[in-house]
Amino acid sequence: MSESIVLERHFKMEFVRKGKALSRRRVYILPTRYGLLFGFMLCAIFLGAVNYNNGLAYVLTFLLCSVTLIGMFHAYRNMAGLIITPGQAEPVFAGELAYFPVFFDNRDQPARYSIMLNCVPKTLGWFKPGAIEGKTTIIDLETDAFHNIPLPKQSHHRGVLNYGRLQITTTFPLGLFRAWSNIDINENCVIYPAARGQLALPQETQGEEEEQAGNQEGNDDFMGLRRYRPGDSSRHLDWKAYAREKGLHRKQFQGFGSRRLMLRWQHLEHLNSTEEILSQLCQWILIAESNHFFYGLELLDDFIAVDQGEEHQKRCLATLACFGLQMP
Amino acid sequence: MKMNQAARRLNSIELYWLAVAMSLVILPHAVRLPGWIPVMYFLLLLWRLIGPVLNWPLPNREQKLLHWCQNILALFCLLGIYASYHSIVGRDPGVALLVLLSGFKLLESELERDFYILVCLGYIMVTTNFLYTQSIPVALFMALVTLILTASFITVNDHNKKFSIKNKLKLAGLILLYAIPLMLVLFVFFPRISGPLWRMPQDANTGKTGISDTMSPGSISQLLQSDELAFRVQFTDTPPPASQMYWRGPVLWFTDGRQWRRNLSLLKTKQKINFQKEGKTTAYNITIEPTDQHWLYGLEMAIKSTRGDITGDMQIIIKDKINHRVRYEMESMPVYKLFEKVPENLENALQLEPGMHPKTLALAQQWRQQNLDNRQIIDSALTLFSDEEFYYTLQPPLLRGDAVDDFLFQSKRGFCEHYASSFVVLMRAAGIPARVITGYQGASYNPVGDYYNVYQRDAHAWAEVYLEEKGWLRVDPTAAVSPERILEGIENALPEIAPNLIFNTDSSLAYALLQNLRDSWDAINYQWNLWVLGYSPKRQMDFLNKLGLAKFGYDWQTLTVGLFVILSTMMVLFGLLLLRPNGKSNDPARNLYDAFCKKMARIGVERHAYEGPMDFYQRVGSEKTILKKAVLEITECYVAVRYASDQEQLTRLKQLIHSFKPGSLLTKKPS
Repeated sequence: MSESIVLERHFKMEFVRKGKALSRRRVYILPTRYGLLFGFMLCAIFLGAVNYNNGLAYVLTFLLCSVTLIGMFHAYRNMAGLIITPGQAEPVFAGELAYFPVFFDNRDQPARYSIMLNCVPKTLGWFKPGAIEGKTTIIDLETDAFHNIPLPKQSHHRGVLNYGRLQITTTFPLGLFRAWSNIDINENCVIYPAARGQLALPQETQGEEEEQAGNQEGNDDFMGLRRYRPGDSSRHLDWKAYAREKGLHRKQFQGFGSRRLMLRWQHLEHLNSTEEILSQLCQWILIAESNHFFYGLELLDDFIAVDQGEEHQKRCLATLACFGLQMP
Repeated sequence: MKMNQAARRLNSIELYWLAVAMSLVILPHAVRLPGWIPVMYFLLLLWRLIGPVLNWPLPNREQKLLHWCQNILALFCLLGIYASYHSIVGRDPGVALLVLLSGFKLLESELERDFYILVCLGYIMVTTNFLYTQSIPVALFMALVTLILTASFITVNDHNKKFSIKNKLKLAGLILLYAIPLMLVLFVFFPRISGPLWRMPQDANTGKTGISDTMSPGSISQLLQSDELAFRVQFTDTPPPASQMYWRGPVLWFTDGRQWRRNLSLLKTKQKINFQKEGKTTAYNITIEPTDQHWLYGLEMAIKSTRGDITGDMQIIIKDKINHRVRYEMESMPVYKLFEKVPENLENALQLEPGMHPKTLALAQQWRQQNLDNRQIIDSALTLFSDEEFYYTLQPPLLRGDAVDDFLFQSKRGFCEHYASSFVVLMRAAGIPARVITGYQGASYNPVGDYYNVYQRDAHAWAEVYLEEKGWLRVDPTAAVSPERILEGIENALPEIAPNLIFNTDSSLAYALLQNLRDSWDAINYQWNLWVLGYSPKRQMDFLNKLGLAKFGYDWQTLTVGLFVILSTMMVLFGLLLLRPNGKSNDPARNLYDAFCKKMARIGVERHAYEGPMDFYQRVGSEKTILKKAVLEITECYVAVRYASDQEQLTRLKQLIHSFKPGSLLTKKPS
């Protein structure tokens, strides 16, 4: 975790962190329904105290009254001063849970407990239990903590999933008051189309480069090492050499030439819908990558040259995800 | 999927907390309630706790049949309460209802909102305890219960169970601690209203001990067994000696030969008293314990009282029954002349039951025939008690036949009521108007609090005779037979009444210490009664007056505004206190590193919040090269301790940082 994350949002603070201007979000406090119940009970006890002229009942009433006020402060303090930084979400496939990592910075601050994190519609200002989408994540932050919490959000179809509004709520410690705040997480998560389809991979496109032995990078016989290039699959790295502090290198294998494919839109035009086509293309890309083939992608407007590796796969899948959609 | 917190099921930890808290609060009630009620409660509780373990079904929303069974059971309990108390309204049946309600609610609790309802019930139960007793030990016990109830709130809100039992109690204790100053402000300044607001059903007489409005042989002596307090007195100036303290209670005029009772007509109408004051008055205040009677006690003779009215025979009667602790101020005149202007009263003071006490009548006639004047007759009677074999004892033999004759001529053993009644009979037989006075005599001084305690065992009966030139005169026949009773108090006259009272006359240090402890505890109780329990609207006004706030006026508005101002100030202070941004880390390595950073800041190199230790070292290295080596050593040591969990380096880190003096290193000339 690198130390150069820019702190973006935080709650109302009495003293701004030195040097950094941080944007603020308000913390709201209201009694919960239990707080109202407690209030009614206090009234009942107070009436009893007045009616029976009971000194200790007065003491209890006033004590509990003060306790609610102190509890209100605690609830507020449980929230105020927390620094939130959204991180980048890793892409997932449609239908899966997308995880939006959010950094909670509690350094140099007292511990916070039972903070409830919910995804709510962007129009929602208040706390409404019915408006929560998905499950509630409840976290605690000890003193001086700095945690990365992945917030789940269900993805339904491909494209770009925006987290929306994060509502941070707490009723700790007494449950009589609820303190909450809303943060708009503008992070987008790329949602790949779900990989579906049973069609077989198309034939190789660049036939004349078949059967060429030599320096083709395949994965059969070990050929040598070359320096690490970003994007190289970690399965092919020489870890032993790295442990001996000789630097990071990639093992090269010689094969009979891997297959080289071009995945084209035209291959699948006979399918019924765009989504089916994209899902099938996605399936092909996954199969091709897992077999260490070389593949490229050709859609109506996009062309990605033949290559291999995680980066390449990501690029291809992302193209599929954003096909025809308005990018934010 | 909707996750509604209120519909969340309770887990077992929360349930146990609730069970403990509710059971503790019900415990003091358990001894007061008819046996089946606490038993029922515990059975319901056990069902709830053990049910899930043994897989018994619980009557919750799913199990309809059991739910109905539970309702029927509840109905039976309601009938049971009616059977035990013959009503369901009032303090005792109300408490019984609440206890059973708690039990049933516990049984059917499964959701988060049931928890909160039960905790509120718990707090209400704490209050009901105060309707029975407000003593300091009970207050402390209820404070403990309040702590546990507050910690229960924390339990149900600690969703990830990060708090141990100890930590929950600690946090609850901290919250209560912070709440206490606010509570004190509210307690002192919140405008008090005189209750009651509605008519309270009269609870059954709980049998208060004390002097009643009649007297018969044995009625005073039975009070000797009681160690209870009757009232407390605080004198404004010098008090009279205890032997001269006669606290006047009911004045008894009419007898049926055995029992004496009051003259009710005197209590109803206001009569003209011819009261001649001589000398100074004594001012004092009395805090009287509940008596369930309609009179107050005062030093003879009371002439002014802040509560009650003074009757023709100098009693202090009051319209409202004394069923709670009452404080009143009085002025008395120890030296006086009280003349009787109503001839009917003098006739009443000669009333005797016809046909009774022949021997006593004969004796009185004998004195008359000897031509003794009134004074001499009085002296003869007293001499009879002192010279003949009369004894002052708690356990006289049962009087057979005529109570007075048998006592004067047969048993000659009795207590103050025997002596007083027989003396008055003698006087009346001799034609001297006389009446019986009951009340208390003497008092015990508490040096710690500078007040006097009068106990039930100080109850006493004496007489008053009427002489033409002197008016009504007090005559205490007990003084003739047992002077110690009057001079030194009942404990010294009859040591057998209280073997647990240590009356060690050799005043060893241990005894003095013990007595001082007892006096201090008693004094604390007195102040507790006065300030916490007795903080009435009048008391509040007096106190605010003393604080010098009289000039602001007492209406509701001013008090409320003042209260609001004080509370707001306190809340702002608390806000600043509680919302401090810094949190002291528990990590010693982190604290040491912070100290190191402070040292660096002093020489002008301040570490940014986002800079890690190594990054900071890099920057220091480039800005202040001289310190590079030392900072590297510290940083590496710190990283080892904090991130590699190398605890052995902690002491070395401490040494390094303590000995690190960047200022001197910078000014040192490079060698």
